[in-house]
Amino acid sequence: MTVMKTSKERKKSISKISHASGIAQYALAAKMSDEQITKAAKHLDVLSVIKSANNYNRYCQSQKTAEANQKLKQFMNIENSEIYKAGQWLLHSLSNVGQERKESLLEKELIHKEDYNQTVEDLNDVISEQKQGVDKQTFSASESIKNLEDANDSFRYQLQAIKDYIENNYDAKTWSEIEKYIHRN
Amino acid sequence: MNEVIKKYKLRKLYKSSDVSAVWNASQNLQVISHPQYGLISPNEYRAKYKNKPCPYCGKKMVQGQQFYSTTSRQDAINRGYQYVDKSGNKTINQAGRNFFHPNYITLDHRTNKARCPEKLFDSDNLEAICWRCNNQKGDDNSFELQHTCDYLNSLAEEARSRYPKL
Repeated sequence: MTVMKTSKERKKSISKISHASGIAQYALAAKMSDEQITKAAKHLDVLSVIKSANNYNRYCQSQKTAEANQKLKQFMNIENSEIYKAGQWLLHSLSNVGQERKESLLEKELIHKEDYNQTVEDLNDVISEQKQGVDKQTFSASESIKNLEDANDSFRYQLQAIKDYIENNYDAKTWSEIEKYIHRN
Repeated sequence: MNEVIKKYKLRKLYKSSDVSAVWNASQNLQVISHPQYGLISPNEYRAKYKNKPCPYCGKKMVQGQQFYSTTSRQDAINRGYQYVDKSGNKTINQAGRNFFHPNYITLDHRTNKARCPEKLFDSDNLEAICWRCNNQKGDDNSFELQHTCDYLNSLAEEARSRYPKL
């Protein structure tokens, strides 16, 4: 038959059990019925036997908890995060310019090297092609200009010679007539 | 066009010395019909481009004999007027007894005035360029073409050097 304890008696018994066993009062109050408390209170001597083992058990658990907390603390530290480190490195690399930036990204293979090289090769091919075309056209145009210059020089020389010949062998008036004729036609 | 000499008369100048004589005599006459400035003389045309960059070498073109010329060769050398021409010879721009700054402004005919006298005063055939480039050009009508070609080639080389293979 269960004997109902008063609140005061229950507390007193819990205090005794806690003292004998090393188990915290709040745990005993939360997990033990009146009947169990009454029963345990009768065997305090037995409980005191396991007190030191229980205490040691709690000590070890606290040590493990402390260790786990320490690890958790380290884990939670942003400085030790691999993702954070990668982000920091990427930001640093991207803040570089030109060749430095390219080499930095290339170290971690963050540039599609083969694609890039292929593009550069294609670009060089196009440039070479264009360069050849421009050089060829320029040379060809220069040759044409030279030929026209020579022809022009030759015609001007011939005209001057004709003019001199007519002025010397006929008279200036004749040349003047020829000039007018050319102008009219 | 209010020209001093008509085109058909210019066309009849067969000797380059005759062409030069007409050109020299017209330096202060308003013989050029400029699309922007109207009728102006070659000297006025030149003055419009003072302190502008030479279209070929990009250097600032200077004008003013008082500041940019000297009668002493040694003084010209001391002032840095001497330069190496396309033949590799040391040279100083000279007119009469005066030595001039290498980038002194000159008025060049895109198509030689001796070979195409009818374009002697055509504004689209005139170009203000520095004396040094004018010397380099000489009477070569393909100079501008070659210059453009060299420019394109330098752009191509720049593109190549900017994107090397990894």
